[in-house]
Amino acid sequence: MTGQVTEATAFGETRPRQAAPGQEPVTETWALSALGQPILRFALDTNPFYQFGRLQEFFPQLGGMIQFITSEHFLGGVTVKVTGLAADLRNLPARSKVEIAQFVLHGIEAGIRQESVEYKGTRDFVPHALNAVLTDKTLKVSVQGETGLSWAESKIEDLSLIDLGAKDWQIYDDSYGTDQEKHFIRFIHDNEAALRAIYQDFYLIRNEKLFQLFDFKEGRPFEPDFVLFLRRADNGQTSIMQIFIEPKGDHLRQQDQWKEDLLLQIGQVARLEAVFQGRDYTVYGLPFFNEGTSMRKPFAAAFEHLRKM
Amino acid sequence: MATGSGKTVLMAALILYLYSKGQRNFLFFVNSSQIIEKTKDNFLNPASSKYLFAPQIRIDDALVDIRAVDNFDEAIPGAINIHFTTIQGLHSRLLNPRENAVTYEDFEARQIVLISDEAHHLNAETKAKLGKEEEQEKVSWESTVARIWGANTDNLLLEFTATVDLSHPAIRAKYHDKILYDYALRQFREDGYSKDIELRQADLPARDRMLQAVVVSQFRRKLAAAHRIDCKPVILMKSKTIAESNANEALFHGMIEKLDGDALGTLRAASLGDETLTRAFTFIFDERGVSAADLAAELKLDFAPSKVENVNSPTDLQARQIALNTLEDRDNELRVIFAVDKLNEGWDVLNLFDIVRLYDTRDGRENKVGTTTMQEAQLIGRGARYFPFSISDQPDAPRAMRKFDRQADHPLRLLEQLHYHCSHNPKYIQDIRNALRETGMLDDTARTITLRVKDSFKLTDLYQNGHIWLNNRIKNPRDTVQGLDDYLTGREFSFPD
Repeated sequence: MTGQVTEATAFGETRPRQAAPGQEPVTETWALSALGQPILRFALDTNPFYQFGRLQEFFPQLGGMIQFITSEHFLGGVTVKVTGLAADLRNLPARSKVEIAQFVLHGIEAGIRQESVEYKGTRDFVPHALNAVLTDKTLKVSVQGETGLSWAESKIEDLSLIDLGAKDWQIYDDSYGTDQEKHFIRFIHDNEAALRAIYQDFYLIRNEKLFQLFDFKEGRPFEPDFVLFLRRADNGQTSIMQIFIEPKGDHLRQQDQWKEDLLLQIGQVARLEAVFQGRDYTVYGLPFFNEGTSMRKPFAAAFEHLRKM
Repeated sequence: MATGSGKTVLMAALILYLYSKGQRNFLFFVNSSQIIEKTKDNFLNPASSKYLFAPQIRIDDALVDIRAVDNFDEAIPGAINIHFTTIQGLHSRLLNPRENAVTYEDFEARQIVLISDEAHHLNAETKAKLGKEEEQEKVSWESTVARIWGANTDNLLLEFTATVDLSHPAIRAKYHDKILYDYALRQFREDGYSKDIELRQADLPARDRMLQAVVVSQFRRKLAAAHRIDCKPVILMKSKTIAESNANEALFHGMIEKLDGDALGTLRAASLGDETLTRAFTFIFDERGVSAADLAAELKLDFAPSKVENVNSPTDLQARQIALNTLEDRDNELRVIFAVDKLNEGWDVLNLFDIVRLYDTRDGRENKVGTTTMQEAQLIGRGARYFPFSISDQPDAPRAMRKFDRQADHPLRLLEQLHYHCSHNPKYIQDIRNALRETGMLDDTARTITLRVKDSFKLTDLYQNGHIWLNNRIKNPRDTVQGLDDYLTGREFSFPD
């Protein structure tokens, strides 16, 4: 249906052969608007993405379809390189023009969809009273696997020798975490003296659906497994460091990379009131924790760095 | 694929996909006419709440129609043409050709996609030893389908079933290189897409157990409303025979008609130690401040005879199938269904929360689960489809997945549970537990634990006066977006690509 086209070009079938003189394909760069408004409007109508209400979600400042079609910022600034026989390009039937317009519109749609994000996480952090966030929790767990086992029942060697119930820094009376979570609690236990050397108190809270963070770029929700509070009082001034921590099984590391990125950004990006109700707050995140893989080293180094801050 | 995991949605998606690959003719067949009605509603009726396609279907920038056809001569090239038929009807029409009906010739010259629902009915021939019913199916179903499929080498046959008996050697051999996806009920439940089953036993006559279920059902409705969730829970009253079912229905109407505040007060007094009922009465009477007399008046309205359906008469089952499949609709006021066994394959209901077993027999022996018990377990499995809802404090939690596995004490967990009300019969309870475990519906490996904040921590300054700092999520304002450049790296395209 493309007219009299017979050659090896976009508008005909492909047959590799020596082109006769004057029959070689040429490539021309056209403004999309050169297809004409009726063609563009027809092509826009066939694609629900370009309904005005929809477009406005992506372009809140867009005033109307005419602006979208003609403005330099929108379709008015789009060009398309078209390859075909010179004679064909001069005499393109409307159906081929529509095909070109639809093709370009699909490309634009794909680009917008790929780049746009619905949500953002705020840089501003706001305070929530801890006694309102922190509550007792009843959970249903499967007895199969480590998450069905309490601290004392854990299959991790020697864990039961540590009396978790007696540690004042462990906020919940028990832990049913994964093996990595339990390893991390032991890491804190092992570092108790080092922490006490600098801080009056420290407290470890397991995040059992207590709170979530949102990654800055796309607003994806993330519930870090732990938050560690380090409290120091100098000359009557209390400063509290709040550190988000996520133990991570090696197999999940890659798909959850954005979570680690968020943890590592928090210290730089988060904005909060420096002094709130007479206390000095700072917020940080640490790299993923994993006992026994290469992740352990950077975690320990970052932990040590924070400890001494 | 487990019941409720989306067989019909997947069929719809595959139809669109295969259309885009050039297929135009689809033959949908199943053994039951009820499922045909339901599926037509899913595929063809845009006014139905369970219509699966978008209001307009565009494939490659062209509008595509979905049409039901009586034979494939009626097929239109630019449309999705579906012939719906029962496998029995298809078989008889092919054996006795007549005008304007499908014939074998229909299949020879065309490419057809065969979509077989409840495909386990097609395995009669594969199984060497046939049951009586299967003996009759042998000549028709499997061979008819095989012949249509073989009529054109480009034909595709897609089979869907919730119950493929892979423990049967011949069936395993037939399918070993053909299974595209296996999604068992156990996996479905573990992934959070089902309700949890709660078994209740009460040493009470049928009449009182029906009343208990009514109160629990009304508790659900009120609790949901208190959380701004529109949910009309439905009760299934299951009897052993049609006569018993009718008698139970009469008993039910009599009980509701005579219901008064005193009867409810008596029920509450007798429900000490029954956690669910106690919670129901505490919520309705104490928290909501409803008096016993008012609750009785309310139940008389909500459970009046017009809101009760008896589905034992086979005559108008087809008409009722639609009503029974739209139990979730706002204008459907049914609260109670009386049935024996009509509601089997293809019953598609999300707001069934209570099943009352109105008889007390058991057919299990030692460790062997009886046939009836197994059927009951399968019914429970079908009823245990999740009722989708969202709540404000978990804005990102998917509507159709359980939300409170890690908050077992959350009141709305009641909307994630199906109660199976039986009489007091520990042996039967053991039987049904075994059957549910076999079907993958029951998780015996779950334990409920409570984590407590230590009292010592509650005394600290950090707990009493301290804060945790968290960020929020906002809708991307896109207020800096000027034009396409904010999304695209280049504005030059090449055609052809």
